[in-house]
Amino acid sequence: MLDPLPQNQWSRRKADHLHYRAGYGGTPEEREAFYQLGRRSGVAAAVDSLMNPEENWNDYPFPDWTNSAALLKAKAAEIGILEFTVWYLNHLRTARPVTGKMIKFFVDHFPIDWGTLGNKTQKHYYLFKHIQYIRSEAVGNFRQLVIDISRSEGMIKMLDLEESKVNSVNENFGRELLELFTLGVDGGYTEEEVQVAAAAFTGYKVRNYRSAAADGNYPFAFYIFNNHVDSSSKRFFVSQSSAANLTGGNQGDQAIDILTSRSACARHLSWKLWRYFVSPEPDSALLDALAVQLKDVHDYNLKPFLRELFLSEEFYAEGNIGRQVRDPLEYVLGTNSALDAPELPPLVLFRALERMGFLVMFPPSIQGWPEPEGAGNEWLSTGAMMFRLNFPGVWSHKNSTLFDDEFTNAEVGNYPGIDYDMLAPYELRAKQNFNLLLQKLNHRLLPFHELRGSQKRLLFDRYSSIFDSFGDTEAVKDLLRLIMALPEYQLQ
Amino acid sequence: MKRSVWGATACWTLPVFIENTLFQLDARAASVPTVGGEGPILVILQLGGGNDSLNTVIPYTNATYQNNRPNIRITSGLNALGKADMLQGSAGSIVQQDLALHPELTYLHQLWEEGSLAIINGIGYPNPNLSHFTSFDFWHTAEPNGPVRDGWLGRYFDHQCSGCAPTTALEMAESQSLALYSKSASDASIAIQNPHGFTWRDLENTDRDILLEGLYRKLVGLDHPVDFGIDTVDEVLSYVQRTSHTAMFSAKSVQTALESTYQSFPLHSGWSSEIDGLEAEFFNAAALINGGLDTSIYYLHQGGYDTHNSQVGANNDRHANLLTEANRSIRAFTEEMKAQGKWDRVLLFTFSEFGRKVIENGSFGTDHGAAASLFVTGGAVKPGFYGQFPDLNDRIKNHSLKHNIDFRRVYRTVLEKWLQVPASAMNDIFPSQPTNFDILPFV
Repeated sequence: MLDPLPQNQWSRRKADHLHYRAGYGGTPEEREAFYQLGRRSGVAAAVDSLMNPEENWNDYPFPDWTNSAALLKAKAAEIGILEFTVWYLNHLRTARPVTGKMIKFFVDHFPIDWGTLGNKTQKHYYLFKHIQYIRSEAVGNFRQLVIDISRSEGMIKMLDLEESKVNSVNENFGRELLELFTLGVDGGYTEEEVQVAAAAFTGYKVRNYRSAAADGNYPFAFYIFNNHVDSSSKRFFVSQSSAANLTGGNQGDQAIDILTSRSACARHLSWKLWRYFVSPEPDSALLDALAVQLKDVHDYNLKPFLRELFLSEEFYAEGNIGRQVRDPLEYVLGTNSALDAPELPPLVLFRALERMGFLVMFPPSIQGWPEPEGAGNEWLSTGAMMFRLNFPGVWSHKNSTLFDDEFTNAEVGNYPGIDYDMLAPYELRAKQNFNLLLQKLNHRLLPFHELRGSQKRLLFDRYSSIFDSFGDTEAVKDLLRLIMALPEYQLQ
Repeated sequence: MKRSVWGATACWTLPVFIENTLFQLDARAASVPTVGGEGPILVILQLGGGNDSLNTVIPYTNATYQNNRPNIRITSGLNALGKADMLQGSAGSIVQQDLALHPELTYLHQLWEEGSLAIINGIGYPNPNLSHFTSFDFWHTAEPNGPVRDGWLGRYFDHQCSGCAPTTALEMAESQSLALYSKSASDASIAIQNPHGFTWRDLENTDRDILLEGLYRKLVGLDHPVDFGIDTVDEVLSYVQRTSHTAMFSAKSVQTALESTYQSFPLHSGWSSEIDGLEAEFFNAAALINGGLDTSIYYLHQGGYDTHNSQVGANNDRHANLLTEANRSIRAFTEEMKAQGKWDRVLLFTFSEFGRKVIENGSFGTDHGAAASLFVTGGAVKPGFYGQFPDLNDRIKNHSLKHNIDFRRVYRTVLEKWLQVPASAMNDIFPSQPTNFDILPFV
């Protein structure tokens, strides 16, 4: 179980699988170089190249306008969320691929909803702050991350932690901490534990900007208001042999220590990570093995755990390859990197994600965005799917009629567009070279699926007729448009 | 991989696919009233943010109401409804209380006078949650305080709608509400924000006049004589392939309905000249109904009801503005349905994730509360008050109202009495205890 993939089994297909799941894929040249790295220097070197060197987050500063309440307030709501989105996606795009993917994972694991974060001045700031908490431990230590998240101002607002005080406990955070963040819904706890956990987090507050700064703290910062803290001793998991005490101060942190020490927590997180990176339903034995590695071997240090995951034979099982629906971010970032295309204008990106069912920082529920399990096929709701069938037209034809508002459509018009000469070299465009051209585009855009014979014939007919009437460039555009609209294009 | 994960249910896209025989593909489908083109239509209007019910259906003569809302109470210009049952005291005795609709709800008042408006007071669920998010989850799953797995309409599809057309339910939104999440038959509902944009697009910025659409349909196997485009081995692949079929197929249904409606639509002149927001959602629903789309559930949204501040005031009358838009939109839609002789086929109900507190806050607004009132209207509605107006002095969760009608009774009633879902299916649709919700006789 979890043995490393033997070096002699490394192949281009497996390299692509790793490249797409641990990152967002790339151009054929980048994928080939990645394969060669693994061939020459070992699979571990290829995995490591996706994780190292670690980022210096100082290179991703908050925009200036987050530095004062007045400037925050001055930002119109929509502009604020747009600029936040650009900033957030910049992490995913430019951080080491595994780090970026883990940030995306934790934004989903610890979802906060822009709409619930209080007034306009505060809520934008909380979004930035929340990403800051997440990125600092995204491939760091999960236990520390849970502790940080319990202090994330956005999460405190989101789950009513501010309203929770001794003798008047709001259980919202306590419940989600157990059910979603650590143990999982079947994680072996009772209502009693929910109440104890909730009481352990009493007194968590966010400084209001009107009363801030005198002590040197930035407005809106987390603090503990002692008068609201329930500091009485509590028995956690009292009915179980593993009962433990919460005493004195810092009971919230103690509770997180106890929760993460339980194997249910390691199992829950392992399951979610496997589902996120590999496949929806790992078998029980594999989950057990993953949980042991995560907690007992690596003490929740995510980087060595993920390294092991990406090296494992199980990760590369043929049944896991090319069988994951790309989420909207993977779809957009993956397409851009496969086409080596200029970044999409922010408004186009934001609206496109919205049309695909991913409203940035508006999770549909406290469970986060849909997962590839159960309702997970929601990524491909009908409207979203139709949008994915049409959106390739932005890249191929700069189609500026897809959106409902003229501003976004105008932005499409300003998009520099893709490099057809690079994507379809001139020497391959003659009709007699069609098979070679198609092979090249198939390899670039559908690394895991071979076009069917009937599709190749249909595409040739189209290419041929457009070639004759409108010339080779127009024929190439249609080809790109159609290949990127195929159902297979939704998979990685 | 579980069968349910990717769904083996979308049998209508299998190679035998022929549009006219959709409903013959599954024996059960014959009993399913999904033919929105002729059958009953359910319109759900979700009011997001927590509508201040006490300033919507107003106990204007009640001293507690008046005293607790010195700045935001509404006591004049009202649309009187007459007396309704109100709970009073811990023994639960019932008194009569004058109620009235908010001054802006003139059309709802007209419906009341006509005898086609039901008002259900005291609606809610046990142990109310005051988070927008969680409370909406509860309304959507119909499993208050339970796990969030799927939606109540999703379970209806799962258990009663195998073989249904993908346009059985249509939500006017970018992504699907949890209420429509199903475990297997996701193809029974579509979510689109704007039906006019829901179509294959490709001629823009080209000099061509031949759509790629026909070619694309062949590429994915929809119209191809031998390659049906559904993989028989890889169920993930076959899932995305079926999804592309669903999109192409339902887009065609929607566009066909829109095209056929343009000849005669709108009949009624009550629509605004510039239609947007909620009115646009109603307009699009009316257009699709008129065009004969086979949709039996339309799911619409109006947001902005989270009136923590300025809900009443000379400069920013937030709540009144929202109700004005709702009233105007419902009026235009209803008049359109009446003009087309379709009003008897429509049942519309409104809901919000919660009501608001009895007391006003310091910002001319109200904070999150619990029990509320809910409207049901339609040509076949039995009018009147249902449930009891909550005792304004009997409060829970810091000045919130207690419910006496579980919202799942409304759900069950519309499923069983309007959409003709058999009673035997209710245990599947409401799987958690308690399951046996009594019908409310408003249909």
